[in-house]
Amino acid sequence: MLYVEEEILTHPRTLLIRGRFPDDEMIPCARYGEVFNRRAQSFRLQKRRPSLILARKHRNFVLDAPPGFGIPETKSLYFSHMLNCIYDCRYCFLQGMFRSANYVVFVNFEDFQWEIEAKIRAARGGSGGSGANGARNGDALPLFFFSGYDCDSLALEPVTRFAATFVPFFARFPDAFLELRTKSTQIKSLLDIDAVPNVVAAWSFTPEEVAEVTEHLTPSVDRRLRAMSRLAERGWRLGLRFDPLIYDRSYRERYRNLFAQVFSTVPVASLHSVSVGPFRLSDSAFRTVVRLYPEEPLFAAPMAEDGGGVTYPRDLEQEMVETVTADLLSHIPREIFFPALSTPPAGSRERETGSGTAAYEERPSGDDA
Amino acid sequence: MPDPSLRFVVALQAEARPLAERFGFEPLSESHAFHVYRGERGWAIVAGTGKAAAAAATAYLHLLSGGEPGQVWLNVGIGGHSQRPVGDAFIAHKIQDGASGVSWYPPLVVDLPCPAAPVLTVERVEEEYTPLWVHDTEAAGFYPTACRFSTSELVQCFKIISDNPEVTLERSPSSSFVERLIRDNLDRIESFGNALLGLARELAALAADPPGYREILARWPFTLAEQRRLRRLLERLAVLAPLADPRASLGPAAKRGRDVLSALETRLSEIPIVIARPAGIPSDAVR
Repeated sequence: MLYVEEEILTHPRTLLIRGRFPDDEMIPCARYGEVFNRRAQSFRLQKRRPSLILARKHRNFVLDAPPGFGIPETKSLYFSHMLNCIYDCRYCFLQGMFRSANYVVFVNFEDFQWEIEAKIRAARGGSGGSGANGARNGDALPLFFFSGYDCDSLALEPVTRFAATFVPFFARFPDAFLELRTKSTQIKSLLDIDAVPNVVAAWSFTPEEVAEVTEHLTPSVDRRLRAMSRLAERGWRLGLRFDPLIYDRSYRERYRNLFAQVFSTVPVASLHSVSVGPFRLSDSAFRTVVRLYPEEPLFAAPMAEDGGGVTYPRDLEQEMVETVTADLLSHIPREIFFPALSTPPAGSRERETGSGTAAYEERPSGDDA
Repeated sequence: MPDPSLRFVVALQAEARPLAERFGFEPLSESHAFHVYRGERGWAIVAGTGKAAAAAATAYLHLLSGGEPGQVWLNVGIGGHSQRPVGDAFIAHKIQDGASGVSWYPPLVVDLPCPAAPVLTVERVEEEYTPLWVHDTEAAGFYPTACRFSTSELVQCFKIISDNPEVTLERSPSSSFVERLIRDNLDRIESFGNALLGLARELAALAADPPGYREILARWPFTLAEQRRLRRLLERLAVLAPLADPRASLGPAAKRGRDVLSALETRLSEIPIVIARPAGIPSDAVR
């Protein structure tokens, strides 16, 4: 089923997307919340056969990332052109974050771009113009925009043309950065254009054995790596997000093998940044996901409540982070290792970000559903 | 919790009779505010026409049938359409109350036995039809009421076209005509109902007590908070050691609920965590 808000029935992007589904019944609705936010919905049942909802976003196009998230000496912001993910990663905070498992795509990309541009220009104005270090805000920090928060940035690219629209847009603002976070192999939009230096395509990974049982519907690790390799050949800047770290009695060997697999395919020189983040969900998100999937071995592991979140016990988490980080740093220079691109460090129980990560808990304020 | 079953809400006796035959329902002998049928596979209630009657009958049947959440609710009935021929069947993908303009969108997550269409609930049988809508008199009363008792994926409307501009219902349709329309669609109704029952059973299994929970609760005292911990520990044990008897490690030393919890914690800590594909399942089964 394809639900479309009445006010965007004739929006050009609506028409393009509808053209991708000529056989699907189109159901007009007044506001997407009529479909998406109703009570009495089963996320688990809907995940079997999600529908697509096309909507218009009215406000809050760009939001601040939580304190501590991002690359040091930058200001992190995020925006979500889509709600929910076509993948089914059991550890992801998106499992049950919304009442519905349907996908919402906001078609008014132009309004996102207006606000992004305004923020970039305001940041420049804040310091009297841009410099070599990027767009400047009042604190004179470069702006770094993240798009893979409420969805996977590229997974629905053939339908939404999100990257095809936003990457050229960001090419106009070399002093700001965009991270596309994904597990997808939908890279054609990027291959069709020259590499944009201020755009980072970042892939999330868990070891193959973990991915096979927890990351349903995602491309295999090998296919993701081949996508990265093709982009590296074309000069794109890449990111690696080993996030969330998943415990298994063989985790050391699994991550060692994963790194060997990754770095035999992805040239280190192509890497913009690498991060590692432990598993972490808020209490409420953890309760939700356990209620949805009580049969998941992932959630049968020992967990501890810590500062409003649920994590592996602190000793175990610390051991995993240290072990995996040490392995990782045998492959990459420390200069491109940014743990805060994944889960905030232990002690600051903040949110995480990105495709398939245990992530931000608080919803953006003023959701306009 | 009993196995989920079907709850049919219909407007007319003529709609109920073929359903009762197919699903093995018998009329309840005692007096009720509505005609009610019951069988091993579920229940049916005859609401009468109109959305208020449909809402009342839905609530009545919920309570009469035990008030269990998570059942499958199906409104089966006839309706009019501007273009579709008599006998065509549709599942509602949108229901709109013609009086208030309020809309609902039943999530459709199983294979449908027939096309989907929007349903417009009107106050009386119309002789003019708004294009594309199936016109009925119950869905907008039935649907929001049933969604109070079950998740919306399990609440659906199945409509069969009884009238169109060429075949109008100036008088009430004959019982035999309505019965025939329903009878001709029983296979579709049954397959749809069974598919929804599959979903209901999946949800019921999620809500079921983990192995050993009731037995342990009966033997040791637990506070409410401890009961929640016990449930979760037993759920974890069922995942990590599915063949284990949860009571095996609870020896005579356990005097209180917290001793049981402690013993279960210890037992769980001794089980290695292995996240791997179960043997025999190909990797592309989840891709």
